[in-house]
Amino acid sequence: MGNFFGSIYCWFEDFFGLELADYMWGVSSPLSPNNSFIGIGLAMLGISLAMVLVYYYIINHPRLNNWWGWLIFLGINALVNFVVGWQWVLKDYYENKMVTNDPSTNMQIPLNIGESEILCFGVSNMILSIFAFVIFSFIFKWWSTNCSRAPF
Amino acid sequence: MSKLFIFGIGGTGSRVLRSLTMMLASGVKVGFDEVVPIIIDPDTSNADLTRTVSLLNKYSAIRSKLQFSSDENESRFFRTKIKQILPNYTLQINDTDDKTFQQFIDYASMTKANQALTKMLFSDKNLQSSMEVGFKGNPNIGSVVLNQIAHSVDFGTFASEFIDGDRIFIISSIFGGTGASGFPLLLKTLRTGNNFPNYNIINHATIGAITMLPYFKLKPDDNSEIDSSTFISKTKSALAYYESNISKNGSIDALYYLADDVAKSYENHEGGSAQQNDAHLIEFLGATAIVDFSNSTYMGTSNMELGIKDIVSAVSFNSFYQKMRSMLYNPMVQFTMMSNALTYKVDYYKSSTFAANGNFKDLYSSLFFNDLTDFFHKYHEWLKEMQENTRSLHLFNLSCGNKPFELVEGVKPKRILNRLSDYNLVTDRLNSAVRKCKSNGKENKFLEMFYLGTQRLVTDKLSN
Repeated sequence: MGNFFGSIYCWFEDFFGLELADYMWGVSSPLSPNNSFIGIGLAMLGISLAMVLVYYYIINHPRLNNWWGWLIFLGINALVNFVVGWQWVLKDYYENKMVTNDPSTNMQIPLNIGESEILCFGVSNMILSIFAFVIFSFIFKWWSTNCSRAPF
Repeated sequence: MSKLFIFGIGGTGSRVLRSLTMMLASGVKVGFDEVVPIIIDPDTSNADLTRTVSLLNKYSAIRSKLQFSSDENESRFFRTKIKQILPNYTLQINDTDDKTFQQFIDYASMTKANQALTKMLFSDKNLQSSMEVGFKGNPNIGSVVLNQIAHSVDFGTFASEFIDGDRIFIISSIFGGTGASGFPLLLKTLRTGNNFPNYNIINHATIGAITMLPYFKLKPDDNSEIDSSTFISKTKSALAYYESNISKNGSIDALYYLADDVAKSYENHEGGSAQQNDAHLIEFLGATAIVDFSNSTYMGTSNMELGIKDIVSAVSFNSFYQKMRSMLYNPMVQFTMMSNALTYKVDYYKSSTFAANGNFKDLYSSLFFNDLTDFFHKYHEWLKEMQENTRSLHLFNLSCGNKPFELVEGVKPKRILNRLSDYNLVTDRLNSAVRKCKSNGKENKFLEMFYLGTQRLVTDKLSN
């Protein structure tokens, strides 16, 4: 599962940086040895699935059975996942977990990861959530009474 | 498959048929799968007749696209077939165009003795009366002219179609000319005639009739031969005739009487295209008599009248007794709800936002939908006319706009636990209903969806 999520997120590793990718893989920081992609990926999928179910089955409003109604929920989902992805990693940043051992001094030095890279990771999470929302939409739309023809 | 043959005589006959057609469209249950309207009116250009024929044609056009052969299609909208056996549903009456009555009876070639006898039975005004626009309230003329019916080709066509188990219903008014003369004559022909096909079956068929006693007046007009001040006296003498020649001799199985002592004065038109009376409560109730007849069995002659709960100027569903209310309430409320949705919210229901539209590709550009829209227009016109007439039949709040459940006059919509309201709730029910439709074909499915959807809405929101 770690490999699965990691390989998906790494489509964007040029965008959010190799150092952050390594950190997320759990290979660069002794303070974060686990694959962080799993947690964020599952959260992204869970949130997207929940948003799809809310749109198609809970809200299920006749007036929202069109591309813009669907787009509103896609946008909300993207925004939520951006914030979640961004804050998830930013939390590690503020907790100073993004460090590595300097072999020459055997001291912990910060990884070359800044807030802008973390922001880019949030954007990457957002883009992936859009894909997830689209896929879940086409899986679950058919059984919705009022929104089965959204987005088309 | 048994049929109900309905003879609509004169202007009143056509107007009652108009009301019946609306009821059939809404799915009011009649005891027959097919009804066969036959209009008898020498004034073929009168607007009451042409309007009814146009409505019947529209109904048939819609019905021809629907299939109810199996029980799969649960919809009752337009379920009863209206069968056309005569051109324009009209029994042709010959030799009335551009002829006076004396020309028709060939008065000039009669012997002196016959001319003298004729003068005793018919006034000079009668003899010189043109028959182009009917009998102008003169049943004595009608009883002569309409004698030709039994020998006509059209009557033969009717008789050929008649099979054992079919029934006949006759609509007429008692205070005019065509209906008052045509009804006893037609009944006598049906009961005793023996020069048409299947006469033995027809002679013994179950026959019902409604006779409309005065329920409107005409404004006095010196240029018109029709004087509504004679309506009551004509009614009295005709009733006396009916009593001894129709009711007492058992020639009819069910005779319905309808009248109202509150009467509106219409413009005085002798006939022709100007004769277009607004739809009236009494004609509506006349149509319910046909429904009642079709669902009843009779032992001997039954004479029937109809009462309403309260004497009110505006009659609503609450004015009817339970049997009448049950007959009409659900079908008419459901049909009106559908017609409102497809009239006032048609843009929404045509759009792709309406989820159920995935089932109705190209339906909205079809002739079927055009016909349906036209029919709704006529239906609303009919409801409005009855509402504005005296006495008013005020069943629906026609200006309920975006509040589809404030539709029924005197019925407050129930509150239900649902986050959706108004047309959003209607749409939600339709979208659910379309998944339960078992019928095939987009036209069948479209009406079945509205039938099932509105059925649930009426049960949830507007039932008593």
